[in-house]
Amino acid sequence: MLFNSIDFAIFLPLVFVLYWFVFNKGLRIQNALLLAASYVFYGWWDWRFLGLILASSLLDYVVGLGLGRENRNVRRKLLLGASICLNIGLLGFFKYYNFFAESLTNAFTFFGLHLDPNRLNIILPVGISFYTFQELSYAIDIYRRKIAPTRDLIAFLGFISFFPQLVAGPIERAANLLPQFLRARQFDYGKAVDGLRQCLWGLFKKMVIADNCAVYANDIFNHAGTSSGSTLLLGSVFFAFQIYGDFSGYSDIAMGSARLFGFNLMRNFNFPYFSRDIAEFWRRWHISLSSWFRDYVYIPLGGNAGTIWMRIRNVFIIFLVSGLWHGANWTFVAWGLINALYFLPLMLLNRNRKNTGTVAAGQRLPSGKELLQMGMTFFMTLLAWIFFRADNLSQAFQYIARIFSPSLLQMPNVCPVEVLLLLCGFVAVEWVQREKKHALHFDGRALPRPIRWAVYYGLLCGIFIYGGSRQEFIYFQF
Amino acid sequence: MRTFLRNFFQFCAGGALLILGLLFTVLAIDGRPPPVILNNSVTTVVVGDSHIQCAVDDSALPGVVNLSMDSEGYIFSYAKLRYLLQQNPGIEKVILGCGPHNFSSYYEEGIWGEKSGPVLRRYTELLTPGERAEIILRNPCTLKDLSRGISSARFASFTPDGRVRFIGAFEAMNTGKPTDEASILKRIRSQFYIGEKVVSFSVIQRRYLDKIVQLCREQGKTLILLGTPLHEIYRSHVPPAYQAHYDAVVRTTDAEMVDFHDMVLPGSSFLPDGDHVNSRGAQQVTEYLARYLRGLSLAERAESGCDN
Repeated sequence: MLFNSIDFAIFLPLVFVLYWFVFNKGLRIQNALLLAASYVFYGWWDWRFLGLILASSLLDYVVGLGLGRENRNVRRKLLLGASICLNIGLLGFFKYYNFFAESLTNAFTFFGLHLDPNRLNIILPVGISFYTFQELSYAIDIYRRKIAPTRDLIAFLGFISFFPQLVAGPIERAANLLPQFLRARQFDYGKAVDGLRQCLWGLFKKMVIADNCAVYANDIFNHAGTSSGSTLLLGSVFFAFQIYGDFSGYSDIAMGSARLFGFNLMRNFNFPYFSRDIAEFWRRWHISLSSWFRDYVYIPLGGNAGTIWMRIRNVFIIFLVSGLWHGANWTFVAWGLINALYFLPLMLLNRNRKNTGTVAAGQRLPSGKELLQMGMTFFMTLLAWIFFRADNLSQAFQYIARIFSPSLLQMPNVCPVEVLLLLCGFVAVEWVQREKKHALHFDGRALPRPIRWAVYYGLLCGIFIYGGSRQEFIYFQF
Repeated sequence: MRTFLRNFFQFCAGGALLILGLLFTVLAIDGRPPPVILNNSVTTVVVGDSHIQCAVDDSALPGVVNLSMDSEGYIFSYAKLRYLLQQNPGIEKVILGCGPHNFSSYYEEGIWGEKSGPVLRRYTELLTPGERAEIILRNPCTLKDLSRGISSARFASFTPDGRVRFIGAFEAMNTGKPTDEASILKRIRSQFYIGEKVVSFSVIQRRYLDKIVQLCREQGKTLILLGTPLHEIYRSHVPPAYQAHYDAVVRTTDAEMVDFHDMVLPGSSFLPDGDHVNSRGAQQVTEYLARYLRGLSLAERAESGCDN
C-alpha cells in the first residue's frame, strides 16, 4: 500500500490505536503487533514474498546467534559468509539475473558469438534492496563485535520488517533500531506531533512536488527528440525535484510514522540540493545508503588509507556499486561512474570534507560564492540524473547533447507556471528551514497555534488541490 | 495521549470546515475565462471529442475552425459553445461530433470518474455553479479537480503556444501501426461493456446534447451532428442497443445529421482502435465535409433567394 493511499490512511491510525490502547500491556505484545502489522503491510504489496522476507530474516537471526556464541575465527567467517552469500545471492538473483544474462549475451554477440541464455520471468520483491542490506549490517556488526545478537525473535523480525521503512528505507542499522524494539516505549506528545508534521511535509513533497514534476519530466523525456535544449534542461530540473520530492518525501513519512510509535529512524536526507560540492551532496543524499557503503564496503577496502591508486579504486568501486544497487541497467552504472568522476578531484585535493556545516548558517541568504557553488553542484547532479532517468545510455547522451545545442537559448516548449511557482515556494521553505531536522520542524520557539494550524491547513489544501496524478514512489523499484 | 487525541480531532474538525469552505468557493467563484474572439471570417465551429478533433482538418475548410478536444463530454461542449456564441455572434453553424460511443456511460469517466481530473481542470472556468454542483454531487472527489481548475485558471489559462486551455484544434493522429482486430475489440469492450454486460446509456450525455440543440435553436445557429467514420470491424461490433439508441437520437434530434459512419475507407485510414481516423482518413473526411458544406451553403442561398 502506498503511503499516499486511502489504504494507508486507514491502516496507520488503526495500528496506532491498537498499539497504544489495546496491545499496550507489554513490550513483547506491542512488538508482536508491529510485526504482524508490518507483514500485513508487506503482504499488501505481494503476499507471495512474505515467505522470502521471513526466511531470510530467520537465517540472519540464526547467523547472529551463531556469531554471538562462536569464538573461532574460521567458523565466524563461515557464518558471516553464509549471511553475505544468502543476502547478496537473493538480491543478485531477483534483481540482476536477467541484466547479467542479457549483458553477457550482448558481449558475446559483439564478438560474433551467439549465446541463448534463459531469460527468467522474475518479479522483483518490493524492498529487497533495503531489507537485505539491513540484515547484512546486522550480521556484519555482530561479527565485528559492535553489537550483541538478540535472542528476541519477535523484536528481530520486527526490526527487519518495520513497516514505515521496509519498502524504501531508510536502511536502518541494528545499533540504532534494534535497541528501540528491546526497550519499552512511552507515548511522547511532542514526538508524535512532530512526527505528524513530518508526515504532512513528506506527503506534500510526494504528492504536490514529486507527482506534478513527474508529469512534465515524463512528457519531456518521452519527447526528447523533438524538444529544445531549454525544454530538456527544464525536464532534468523537473526530474531532479521529482526524485527528491519522491524519495525524501517517503523518508519523511517513514520517519514521521515511526515517531508515532515512539521510534526514531535515522535521517536520510539533509537538504541535499543546498550542497556546495558533490562530496557534501553525498553526505546529504540518501544518507542511510551512502553511510552503509562507507561502513561496509569502502572502509573494509581500505578507505582513505593506502596508496592513491587504492583510494581511487575504492572510490570507483563504491560509486559503481551504489549505481548498480539502484537498478539493473547500465544507465545506473553510468550514473555511479559520473558521480565517482565528480568526487575524485575533491578527494585527491583533500577538499571532500571542506563543506561540512550548513550553508549560510545563521544567515538569511547565501553569499554570492555560496550561491554559485550550490548552482554548480545542482547543475552537475542534474546532468548525472539524466542518466538515472534515461532508458538507455544512448538516450542519455542524446539528451545531454541536445541540451548543449543552440536551442538551449530558445524559450522552453513547456512552461507550467503553476508548477514552477510551487517549486519556487518549496525551495524557499526548505531554504528557510535548512538548519532544522525537517522543513516543518519547530524546535522550541513554537509559533502560536493559529499560525501553525494555518500552515498545516494550507499544506493540506495544497495537497488536496495540487496532489498530482498518482505516481508510484521511484525507489520502490529498487 | 488525551491532549494529543483532543487536538487531533479538533484539527480534523477544522479540516472538515476547510473542505466546506473550499466547496463554497468552488461553487461561488466566477470562472472569468479569457476571451476567445475568433477571426471575422469564421462562420462554422467544430466541437466535440478526439474523434472529430482528428477527423476535420479546418485548414482545408474556409470559414471553419476545429476547436475540439480529446475526452470532451457534451457538458463541456455545451459550456464551451455557450461561451463561444456569446463572444462570437458571427458564428452561423456548429458541427458537433456524435457517435454511439458518446451515449455510453463509460464517457462519464471523463466527466466525474477516474479519468476526469485533467479534463475537468480545463473547463472549470466555463461551468456554471449549478454544473459544478452537479459534478460534485455525482462524485465528491471532483471537488479537488474543480478547485485546481479554478486555481489554474488564475495562473495559466494559456498553454505555451498561446492557445486557451479549453480550446482545442485539429490534430492529425498517426501511430504508424495498422488497425488490428484485437485493438478494435479491446476498444469496443472498454466503451460498451463491463465484463460481459453492456453498459447503460449515459443520461448526462443525452441531456447536454439536448441542451446544445436548444442553445443553437435559441441563438438561430445551424447545428450539424457529424458521425465520423468507423472501421467496419468496429461498426459491426457496436452493441445493437447502442446502434438503435444512436439512430433514435439522430432521428428525433432537431439537427442536421452528417453520418460518415458507413463511409467506406480502407483500413489504412484508421488508427489501430478503429474509431479514430488518421491523417489520411482526415483528408477524406474533410473533402466529404467540404462538399457537404458547399451543398448546404448552396441550398441556403437558394432558400434565401440569393440566386434570383
